Amino acid sequence: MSILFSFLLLSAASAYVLRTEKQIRMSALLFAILAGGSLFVVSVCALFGNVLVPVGAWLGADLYTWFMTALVSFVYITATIASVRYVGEESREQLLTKDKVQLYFFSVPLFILAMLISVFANHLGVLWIGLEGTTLTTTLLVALYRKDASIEAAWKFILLCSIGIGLGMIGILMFIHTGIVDGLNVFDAFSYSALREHATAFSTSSVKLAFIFILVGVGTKVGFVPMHTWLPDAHSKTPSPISALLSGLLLNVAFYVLLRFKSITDLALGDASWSNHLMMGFGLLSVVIAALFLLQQRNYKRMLAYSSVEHMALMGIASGLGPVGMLALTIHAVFHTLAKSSLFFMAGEILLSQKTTKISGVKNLMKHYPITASLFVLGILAIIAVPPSGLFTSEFMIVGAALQTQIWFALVLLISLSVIAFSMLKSTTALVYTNADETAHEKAERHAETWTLTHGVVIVQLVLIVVLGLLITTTKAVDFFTTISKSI
Amino acid sequence: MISLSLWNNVFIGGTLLFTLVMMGKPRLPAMLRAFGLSSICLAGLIVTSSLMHGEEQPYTIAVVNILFKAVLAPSILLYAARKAHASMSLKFYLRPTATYFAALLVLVASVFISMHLQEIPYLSIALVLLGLLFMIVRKDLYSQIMGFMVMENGIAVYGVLMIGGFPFMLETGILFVVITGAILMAILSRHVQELYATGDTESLTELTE
Repeated sequence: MSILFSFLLLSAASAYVLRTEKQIRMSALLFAILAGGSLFVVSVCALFGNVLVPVGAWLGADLYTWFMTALVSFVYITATIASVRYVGEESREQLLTKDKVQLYFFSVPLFILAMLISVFANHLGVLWIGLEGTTLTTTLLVALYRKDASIEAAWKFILLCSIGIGLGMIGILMFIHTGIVDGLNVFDAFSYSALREHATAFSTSSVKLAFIFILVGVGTKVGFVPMHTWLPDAHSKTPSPISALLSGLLLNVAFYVLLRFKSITDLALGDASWSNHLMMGFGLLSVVIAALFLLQQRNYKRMLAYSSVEHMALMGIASGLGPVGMLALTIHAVFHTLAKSSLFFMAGEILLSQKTTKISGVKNLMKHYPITASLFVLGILAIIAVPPSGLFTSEFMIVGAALQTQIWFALVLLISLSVIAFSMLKSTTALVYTNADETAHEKAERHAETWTLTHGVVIVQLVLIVVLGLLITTTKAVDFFTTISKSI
Repeated sequence: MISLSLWNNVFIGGTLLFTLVMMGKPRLPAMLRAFGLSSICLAGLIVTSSLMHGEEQPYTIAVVNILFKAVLAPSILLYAARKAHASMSLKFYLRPTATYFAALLVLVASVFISMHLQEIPYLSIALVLLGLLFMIVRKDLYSQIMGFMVMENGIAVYGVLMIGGFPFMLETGILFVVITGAILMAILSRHVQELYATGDTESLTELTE
């Protein structure tokens, strides 16, 4: 694993070694294919039980780790392909200078490395460093354009996430302290697997308090309401391929960390109902608030960001619904990652052609940019869980399981999801189908749409959403995902 | 052992006292000096607590702590402020006297919290809450960074008093991450200063729903 991790460090270093902007982009692509491809192959092999991969003393890997690694490595490759096109176009238009391109391709591999460390970490100190690393490596990417709004977004992002991770650290330290009180030595108390092994003997009041700190702290990173305020700003102000990484991967990684501590808490309490109620409470609040903000959304990138708040909330609810919920959560993670990253890639294409993120500023999209517009519409249909998107299966399972616990809960959830679907369709219709007369200057500025690498990437991801969405209903696939979801 | 325990208490008091002093300082260099002194006391606390927990060589960690928190972080912030020609006078919602009163209330609240939640030591709760309070009562970017650093000191105190400190590699890693965060915040505050010609957080109002 360290060899694969060092590829990411080499990729980051190459951004400052190479001379031209094109060389930097091509080198980033080469390293992404090399490192991301190798990681993807290794993780898929591990998922299907063909290999046993040593990961080092401070790291550890269960099936869910490999599942997350497969997602991270896949989107790392697709986001780098989209970045090559996006950054190239923005450099050509002189929106990004060479030093910003260097910063971009220096930060992306480090961000991926920080996420992988968070996913693999068995040592809780390393886990904290990885999580905080994801914030630090992306702060300057959020501020990349050095404009008023991007600087403001970056400031909110680093401050809120750092405070959140700080509070999470208190929770982690409380778990470690509980382990020491229970008789573990300091080194073992820092080990996630050792804590999990001894969790049944832990003091319940300490564990509850520790989990609340972690829920609030890591929940900030996940984007749970009311700690979500950084998310729409940061996700809408970064370059679109980075938004795809933030929305499609980082939130999932943070959620995975939260799930790991939830499992220790459940073991310590001997019953999952206490943490289930907390997760479902935060989840429902987040879905309702996301629905309200989506109703009046005028910016298509912010719309996608609030949709991420909604999907993390759905995963929060799923995590509180027992084994069926955990299965739904695992399926949801795959399809949300694929659909949301596709949508942000297309949002980037729209921004490149229209030079605005305001829905009202986009004109004649379907008429002049039919490939981008069509792919965006298909992505929206996938994200609002229209079959055969796999999100339909996962949301159907979540609502079904919720109906069996609390009818009022399921009703509020259903109404919120309907409002979200309606709002997103309404905004998308306005975005894609608004026809307006163009000024002579706009006509002169407009180029005919050509096929790009990003379109190819998005088509692959949409095909995967459909094919996997159909496959997911088969018994074999359900068994496979059940095994993964049980491994946490 | 008695003298070690006494020194431990002196450093606990010093960490808290200099943090309180910092909260009333209206100028950046004075605020950074007080934070530096508070961090030096924290380093002393690391030494005494580690010795009391049976550690033999806590000095390297203490030196690294002083280097990162008492020297590097304040120097970087001061350098960033001078480079951006920022005013050394800080901006606040609450005047220093009112801030001290609010801090006193936080200290009293911390006593009640630590009595009910015995898993968290008093100093740790007090520093985390004082850090949060400092971010609320001040409206300039540098004070917000210092508020965050005070919070980090509170977390470090938890590690020292409840766990007996961190392994050296881990402590260095955590300090490195914290200092990188401070550097990034300093870079951003410089950009804000250049864009808005002020370090006032009230100017950051573009991203509202």
